[in-house]
Amino acid sequence: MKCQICNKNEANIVFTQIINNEKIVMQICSECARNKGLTLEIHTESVPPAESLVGSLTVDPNMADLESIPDLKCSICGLSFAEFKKSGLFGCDCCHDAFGEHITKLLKQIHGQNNHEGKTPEEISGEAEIKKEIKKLRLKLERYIKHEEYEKAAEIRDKIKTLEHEESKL
Amino acid sequence: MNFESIVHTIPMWLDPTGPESDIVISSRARLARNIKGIPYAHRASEEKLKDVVSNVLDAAESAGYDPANFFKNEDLDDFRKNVFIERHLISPALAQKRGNRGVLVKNMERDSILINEEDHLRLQSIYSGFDLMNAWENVDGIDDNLSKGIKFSFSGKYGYLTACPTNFGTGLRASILIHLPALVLTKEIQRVIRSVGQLGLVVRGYRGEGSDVVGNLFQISNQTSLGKTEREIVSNLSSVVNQIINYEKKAKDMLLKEAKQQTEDKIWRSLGILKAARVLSTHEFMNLNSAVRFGYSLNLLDKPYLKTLNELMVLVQPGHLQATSGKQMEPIERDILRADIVRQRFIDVKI
Ligand SMILES: [Zn+2]
Ligand SMILES: [Zn+2]
Repeated sequence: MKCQICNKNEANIVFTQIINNEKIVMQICSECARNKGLTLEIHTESVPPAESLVGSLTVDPNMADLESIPDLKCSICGLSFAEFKKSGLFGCDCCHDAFGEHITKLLKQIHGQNNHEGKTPEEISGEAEIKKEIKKLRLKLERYIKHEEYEKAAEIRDKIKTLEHEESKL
Repeated sequence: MNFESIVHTIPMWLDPTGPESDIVISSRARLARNIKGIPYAHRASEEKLKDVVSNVLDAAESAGYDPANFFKNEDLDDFRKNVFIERHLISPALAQKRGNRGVLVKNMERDSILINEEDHLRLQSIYSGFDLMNAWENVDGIDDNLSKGIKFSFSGKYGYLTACPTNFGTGLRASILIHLPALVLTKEIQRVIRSVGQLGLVVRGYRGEGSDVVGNLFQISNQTSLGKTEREIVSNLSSVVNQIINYEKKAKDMLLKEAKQQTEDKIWRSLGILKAARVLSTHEFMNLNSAVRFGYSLNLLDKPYLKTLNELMVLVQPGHLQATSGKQMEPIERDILRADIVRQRFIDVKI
C-alpha cells in the first residue's frame, strides 16, 4: 500500500492518533513520519513500538514481517495475499473475502472503522433492507433471552429464519 | 464532440459564480465504482476492459450522457492528454496507460466519468466555489441513474468495493481547491495544515497527489471513506473548510493592519509584471496570478476579473498552449506564448 500522505513511497508505518476521543489511523512511509516531526529512528522493518507526544507509531506486523504473510489466494482472480501487499490493490471484488480477517483488520487501520454506513445501490436495496431487519431482530432476540422470555424469543427466531430464507433466494 | 471543442470550451467550474469564489476555486465530489464480477482494470484483459467501456457507455447514455463525448486514451497524443489532466478530467496515472480507457464528459465538463483507471468507473462532479453539498448531490444522482444499467460491486458490510482498500465503503472523495495567500504570507499555513491533518483530512498541492504547492493553492479532501455516511463526510469537510476560510479572512485583516503597504506593493508589482512580461514560466505565472487574485479579494482591483484569473490558470498550462498552437513546443517557446496571452488578457487592466 502507498503512503497516505505522499502517495509515493510504500507505507511501512501505522500512525495512530487520538484526537477528541476519536482514533485516527494512517498508513505512512518513514520519510513522511520524519516530516511530521515524529522522531523515530527506523533502522530495520522490525522496530519496536515507540510512543511520541503527538501520537504513537507502530510497525504493522502484516506489512513489515514478510515471513508472516499468509499463504492465501483469491480463487476467483488468482491474486495472492503477497501480491496484494506489494501493489496495495485487489484483483477483483472477491479478493477481500479470500483474505478474510486480514482485510477486516486492515480496513479498521485505514478507516478507523470497518462497517459501511453510506448509500446502497438502488437495485439491491431490497436485500439490504432484509439485512437491516435481521440485524434488528437479532438484537431483540438477545434481549428476550437475557430476560428469559423464551416464548417471545422463539417467535423472533422463526421470523429471522424466514427472512434468512428470503435473503438466500435473492 | 471533438477534441477541438474541448479546448475551446471553458470548464463550467472556472466560472467564479459559486459561494466564496474568491477563496475557494472549486468543489469536487468523486465516487469510485466497479462492475460486479469483472476483474479490476489492472488485472483485466483488453477484451474485458472493452466490455466495461461499452457497458458504461450504454448505461451512461440512458442516464443522459452522449457517448460521442467519450475520449478514448489511445486516440489522444501526449499534449492532448495533458489538456485533459490540466482540466482535472483525467489523472496522470490514467494518461500513462493504453488501451480501452478514457473519459466521458458532460455539462461543460462539470460531470465526467473516468473509465478503467484504477477502478472501472470514477464519477466526478466539479462545482464552482465552495459548494460541496451540491457537487455531492449531483454525483449521487448520476450514480443512482447508472446503477439502473450497471450492477456495481457492493458488499453489505464493506459497501462499494474498490481496487484499493482506501476507497472502500462510500468510494467518496470530496475535495476543494482553495487559495490561501494570507495564511501563507503570515506563515500560519503550516499550523493550519497540521491541524487539518489531525482532523482526518488530507492537504495537497494544486495538482493533487504528491504535488508541490504552487500559487498558494491547496487541495483539501477527506482521508477515509468507510464507516461514515456520504453526508457526514461532506459536512465534516465543509465545516473544516469554513474554519479555514475564517482563518484566511483573519490573516487578511492582520496583513492589512500590520503591513498594508508591503502587501499592496506585492500585489501591484505582480500585476505590473503580468502586464509587461515577455517570458513567463508556468510557475512564475501561478505565483503572480495568486498575488493579483489576492488583490481582487482585498477589493484593491476591479480588473482583471476573477473569471479571467481562473481561466488563465488552466489556459496557459503547457498542454493547453500546445493544443492551441497545434504543435509541440520547446519550454522557451511556451513561456513566450504564455506571456503574450496574459498581456493580451490584461490589456484593459490599469495600473
Ligand atoms: Zn510518504
Ligand atoms: Zn480476486
